Amino acid sequence: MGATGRPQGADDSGVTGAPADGRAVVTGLGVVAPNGLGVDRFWSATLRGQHGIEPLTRFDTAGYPSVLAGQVSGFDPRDHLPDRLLPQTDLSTQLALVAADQALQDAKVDPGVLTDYDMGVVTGNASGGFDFTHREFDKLWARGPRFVSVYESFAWFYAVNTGQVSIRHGLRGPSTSLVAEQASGLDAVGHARRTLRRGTPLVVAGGVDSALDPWGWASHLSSGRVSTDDDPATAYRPFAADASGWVPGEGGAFLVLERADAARARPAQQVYGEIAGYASTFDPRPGSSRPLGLQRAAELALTQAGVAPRDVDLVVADAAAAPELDRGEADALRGLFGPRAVEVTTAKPLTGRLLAGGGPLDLVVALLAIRDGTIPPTTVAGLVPEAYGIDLVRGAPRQAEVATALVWGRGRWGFNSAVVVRRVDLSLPNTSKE
Amino acid sequence: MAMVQLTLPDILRALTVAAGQGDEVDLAAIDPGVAEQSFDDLGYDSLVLLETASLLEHEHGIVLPEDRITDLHNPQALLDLVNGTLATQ
Repeated sequence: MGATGRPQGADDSGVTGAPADGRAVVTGLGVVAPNGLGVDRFWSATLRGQHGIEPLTRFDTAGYPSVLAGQVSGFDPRDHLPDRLLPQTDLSTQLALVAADQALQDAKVDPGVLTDYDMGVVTGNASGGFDFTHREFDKLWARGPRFVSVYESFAWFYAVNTGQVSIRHGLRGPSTSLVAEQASGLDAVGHARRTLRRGTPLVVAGGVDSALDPWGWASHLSSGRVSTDDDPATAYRPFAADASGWVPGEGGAFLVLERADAARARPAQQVYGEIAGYASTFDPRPGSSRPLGLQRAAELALTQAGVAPRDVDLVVADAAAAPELDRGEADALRGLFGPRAVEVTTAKPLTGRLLAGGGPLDLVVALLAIRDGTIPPTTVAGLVPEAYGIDLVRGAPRQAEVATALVWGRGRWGFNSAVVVRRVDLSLPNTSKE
Repeated sequence: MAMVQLTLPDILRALTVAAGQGDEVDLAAIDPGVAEQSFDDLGYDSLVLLETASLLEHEHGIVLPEDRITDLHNPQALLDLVNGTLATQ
């Protein structure tokens, strides 16, 4: 074992002379969001209530029922990535590579000086490389199979962001990709936590999706839940009595997660918090009398974290803005916490719903709320039905001590995932039981 | 009719386009040694070679045998395969 040590597993004394501590702590963040490229720009825009929703510019939307999207405007991949990566990557992968770069820089991790097999990559993905594939399909039908780029073989693929991040930074530890629509990104972070507890010192985890080409747009619209309103400032109104559906967006976030013992040994300069618990559940089939799975996912995640509902200071909501889904989420909130017993917010009206990018970006919101003691407001909710019984942070940022937050998400077709994050002080020993 | 043959700059241009490095090859800046440099050293993997073959097919009408393309080791070998194929087509 070298001087820096290498934690082998939760039960080993990993770092020389130090007790093993397999808690998953967040040491770096990267954000590519429609209302801000980079963590600082995203956070200040979110606190100001500045949105990134606009009429779709990627194609002619005449004749489409919905025309608004959260677009990462002004993004030129050539400003961020080497030329050689461009012909082989979809926009979603280009955005993912930039978010992962940011997260590693923020954590001050230089993968070149660490052991490659000690660093993994876990990403969530819901749509793969839609825009790239759309263009290649166009060539396939218009000109024939010999005109399809060889890079299509992987540029479309759900695991491509994991692969490209791994290759770019030489991260050869345990890596995978998880597909669960809007729940994908939380699943990725949950799986990263598991990977750390099994002994890998560092995992880059998160998710980015983008599917704003005509084909991707058609797949968004197929949900039947995309808002047909045309005012960017108010189209996406989660929990409003007159909620009319969500606005799709592109982007997401990456986190650098490290075992607490590895973060102490490096030593990491900053720790945003701990990924303290994670669980996922699946809804029963439609028409079943069994309850939906969201509340149970949260209960399981809280149990894993050893956190009682009364100790949760903030919930970052799924906020689908479809009335039956909002009702279901409000039911789960009341079921867990009681009426108006926990502060709830969401930045989704500012960014749109980001599929696999949504959960990781919500985790960034939770971690920055913990860091700053500030909860960003949900900006565009209309009148919230009294029956929902939720304490939605509205109007202006709310100053509040946030030590523990619950982030959850629901993916179309029944996916539910929940992650518990909490403040952590690495100068104190680990007292958690797990 | 005289058979048209491709030159090293033609091959290098196809490789750089396939690899996403733009389509300008500065003739004066070409190091003659590059022809014998391995694709590994040049950073071109098997996918770049397949994409290059596709490009050469569309631009010059050369259909290269796919099973031989990924066995090639350097630009000179690719140039030889291209011109050998042109001579027999």
